[in-house]
Amino acid sequence: MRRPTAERLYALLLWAHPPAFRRACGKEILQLVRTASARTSTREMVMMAARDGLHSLAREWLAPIAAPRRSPPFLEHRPGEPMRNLLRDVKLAGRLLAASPLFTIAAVLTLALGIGANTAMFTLADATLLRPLQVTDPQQLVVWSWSSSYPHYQVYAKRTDIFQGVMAWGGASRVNLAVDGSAELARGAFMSGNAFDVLGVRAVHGRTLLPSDDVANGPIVGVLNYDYWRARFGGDPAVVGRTVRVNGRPLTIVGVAEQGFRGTTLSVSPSLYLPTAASPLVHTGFMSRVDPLTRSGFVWLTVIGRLRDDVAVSQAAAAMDTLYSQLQAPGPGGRDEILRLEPFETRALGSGAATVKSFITLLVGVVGLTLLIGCANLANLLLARAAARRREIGVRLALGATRQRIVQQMLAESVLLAVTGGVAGLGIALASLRALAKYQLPGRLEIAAIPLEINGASLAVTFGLSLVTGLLFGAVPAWRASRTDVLVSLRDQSRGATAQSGIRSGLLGAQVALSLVLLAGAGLFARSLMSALDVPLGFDPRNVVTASVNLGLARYESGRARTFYAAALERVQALPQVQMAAWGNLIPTRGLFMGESAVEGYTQKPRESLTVYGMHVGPQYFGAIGTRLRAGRVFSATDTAGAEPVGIVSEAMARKYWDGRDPIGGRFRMFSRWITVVGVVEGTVVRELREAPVPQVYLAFDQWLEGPQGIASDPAHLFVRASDPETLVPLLREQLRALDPELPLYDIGLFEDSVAALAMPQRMGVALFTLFSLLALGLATIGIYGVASYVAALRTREIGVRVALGATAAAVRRMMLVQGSRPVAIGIVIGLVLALSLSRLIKAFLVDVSPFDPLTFGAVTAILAATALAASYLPARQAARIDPVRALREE
Amino acid sequence: MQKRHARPDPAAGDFLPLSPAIHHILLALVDEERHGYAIMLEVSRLTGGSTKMGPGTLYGTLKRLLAARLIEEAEERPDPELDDERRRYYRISRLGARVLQAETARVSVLLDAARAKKVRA
Repeated sequence: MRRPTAERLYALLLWAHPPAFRRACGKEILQLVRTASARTSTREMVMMAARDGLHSLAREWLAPIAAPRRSPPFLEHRPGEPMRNLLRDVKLAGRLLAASPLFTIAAVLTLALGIGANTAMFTLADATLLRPLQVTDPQQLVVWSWSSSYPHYQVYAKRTDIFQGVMAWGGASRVNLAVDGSAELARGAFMSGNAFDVLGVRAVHGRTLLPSDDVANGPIVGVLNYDYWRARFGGDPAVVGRTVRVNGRPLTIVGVAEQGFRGTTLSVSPSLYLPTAASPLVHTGFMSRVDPLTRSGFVWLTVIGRLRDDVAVSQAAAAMDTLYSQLQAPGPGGRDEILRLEPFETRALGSGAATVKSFITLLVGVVGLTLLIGCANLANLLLARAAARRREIGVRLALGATRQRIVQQMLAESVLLAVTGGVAGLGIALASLRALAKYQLPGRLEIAAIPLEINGASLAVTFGLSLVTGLLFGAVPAWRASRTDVLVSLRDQSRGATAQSGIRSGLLGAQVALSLVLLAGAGLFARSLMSALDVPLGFDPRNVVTASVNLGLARYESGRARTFYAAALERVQALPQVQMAAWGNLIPTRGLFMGESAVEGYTQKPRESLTVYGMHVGPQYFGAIGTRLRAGRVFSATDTAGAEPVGIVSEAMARKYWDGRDPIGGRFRMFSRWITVVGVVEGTVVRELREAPVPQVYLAFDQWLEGPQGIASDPAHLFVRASDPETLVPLLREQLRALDPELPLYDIGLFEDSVAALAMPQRMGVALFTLFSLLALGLATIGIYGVASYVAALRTREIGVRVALGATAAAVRRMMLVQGSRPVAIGIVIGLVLALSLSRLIKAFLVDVSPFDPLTFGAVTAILAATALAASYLPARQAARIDPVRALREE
Repeated sequence: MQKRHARPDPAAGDFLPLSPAIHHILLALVDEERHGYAIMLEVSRLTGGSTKMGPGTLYGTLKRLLAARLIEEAEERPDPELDDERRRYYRISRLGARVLQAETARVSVLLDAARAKKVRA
């Protein structure tokens, strides 16, 4: 029969008690627990075990330490006595630390940096990986690996035999939200009426969305995001019931969602939650034309289900895959992909979840490593202090102090240091979190958009780290000190300390090895950043300003839009600092449209599809962003709506589909129209660095404003090349606003900044690795210097004898250097092995650099070796200057 | 019982005031010998269920009480009301009884003073 839970718990607790207590009462305690748990509920027993067991654990361990040798009856039990002892230790530790301020400041600073950086990274990991989205029981939620159309979602949602509920998430779009006539761009997220229920999210005011809200052509209602409600409505509960206008349509606010809820992904933070059925009414561009609620071919929803308790994920996945294959009309090729159900948590990080995860893990690893190096360094410094206090400890032992008291006192000192470091570390953590906000995680996840705050969990981590580090670096010195031989320590200072120099060399080697790992990481990231900046972009982002508008949100029809685009361009081009300006409907680096094409005179191979990427641009576009023309011409003012449709192709496209023939005058098909090629340009990056050049096409902006594929009511972006881009930004805003004060205008800024985001992981890697590896290098230098001076001091007498017997200063220096560099050399070798085996972890973030890049590893080794040599040179020189007469007399 | 002259009984007053755990255990044992579980139940009964003494605290305190000779171990025997398992019984010592008396006297002085000043429980 299995032992009851409480008994097993107590057996475990007993095992942690002092052996004497276990021997004396263990059997009886277990017997009692057995008897009691037969008559008490398990829950009550477990509660008791937690309270009583831990209490007695602390008491039984502390009692002998706290009790003086000859205790009057119960003295050890008097409340406060162990506390008083501890207080005494802490006071003494404080006095000792205050007596050597330099050491204390260095130690606290090291710890503060280490603990602070770790707290900050934990907070980031906590907010992204551990509990990214505030929903109820996220482990029950699964996400369909393929998006779905609305009719198909409705089929999935009927499977209540498998799911407690199935919801749909339609993404978050920019909307123009007008409150009392004042319009502002906001993010509207579309979700099925049952979504709040499925996610387990409540409303703080009013109500959440309900299935009855999610009906086609019904009145539009919305629920506000908590933060948006605070920011825009000042947290006024009376907002419930008010009517606002979204993209010109009236919408009634029915509630405010609970704090922390921000939809089902971290990559956008919605301001407003709307039912999916409102999507065709609210949307103005493409989405208003496609009929998203009835077309089963239009795929736009992320489906999320909450599993029933009695259904396994695999079972649900199999059922949904069957359903999926029935829903997909089986074509001649059959279906190529199976449907999987993915855990909800991975969904939070967007499409690049795996990359984000490994990137954050990397960051956590780096700061963890730095803290370890700091610990090794402090252990070394404390050993040196303990060595200096051997005589004092010897005296205390001789006078009757117990070893436990000595250990306790030494540990009090290191824990005091660590806790002080932890408190200072909180400040560092806050500063680091603020600094992190300017970076992006891979997948364009803005760190600034993720709510990062030091919460209870982060505080617990900080405090725990402080205690653990304090014990970690304090344990070895304390243990050594408690083993001090009373007689030897009182008789002479130097002998018996050689074992210590062994430990110290070991710690030093470990420190060097870990530093090398960090340095190598810094080197690889730096090299990678250099190559990333060297990758040809296909344009020149310097001196280019972009501004985005969305006329559809202001319900412009295509005629009015055409007038606006022309007038705006005219105004902007008239500004003195503007050299070139043009409209485009997309922004390179943020993705181009993707479509099927055909090329005249090119025979498609069987199963070959001509997928091309492209955008619509105005005449001066290529000049404005600095893309070079290779042949033919760019668009001109004569390429108007009525004229023959013209296009420009990229070199990659020309090479691939015209293959030696002259593409100028040739034709390709796009959006069911045949387009004549008038020019060839170099290709640009589409989404990320390092991607292979893809075939690209450019269509004339003016020729595509109207019609079924018209872009007039989609977002449009103005590209302006200027002599003085910084001053242009406010002017541009002014000029565009002058045309329409209520214009939905956003993202005005330097193109360079948005391009810089492409190399963001590399930048962030360089910044962090450089910071921490420099810190590690500094610590290693201190460590090497410390050990070398310590060894030199220990060997004063021996060196004196050597010099007396005729050793030259140079010989002594060489001897000291060679012996001092042994732990460094061993550390370097171990570090190289470690770094080489770890470097593939960052392979995904390296651009054109091998993770085993010999140049990086060579340079890093050289830097460490040179630093080590420099750090041990001074003590060696001092040792060589020893006066033999004095050295021998002193002993 | 043979009295050890090298270490005479300490005065009962040396032990005062008693910690709640010790006070409870001495009270539980003053009228009869009990084993660990019975002490636990008795303490709970004496305090109207407000004090639940856990096994760790109980035996930790028993150990100290034994060391201070305020209680003594009786022989092991089964409890007729529970099962057949043999249990160790504890009883209060003469010193323990004196200490409990002294503590009761101390507490009742305080209690009387409190009542005289109309302090309500």
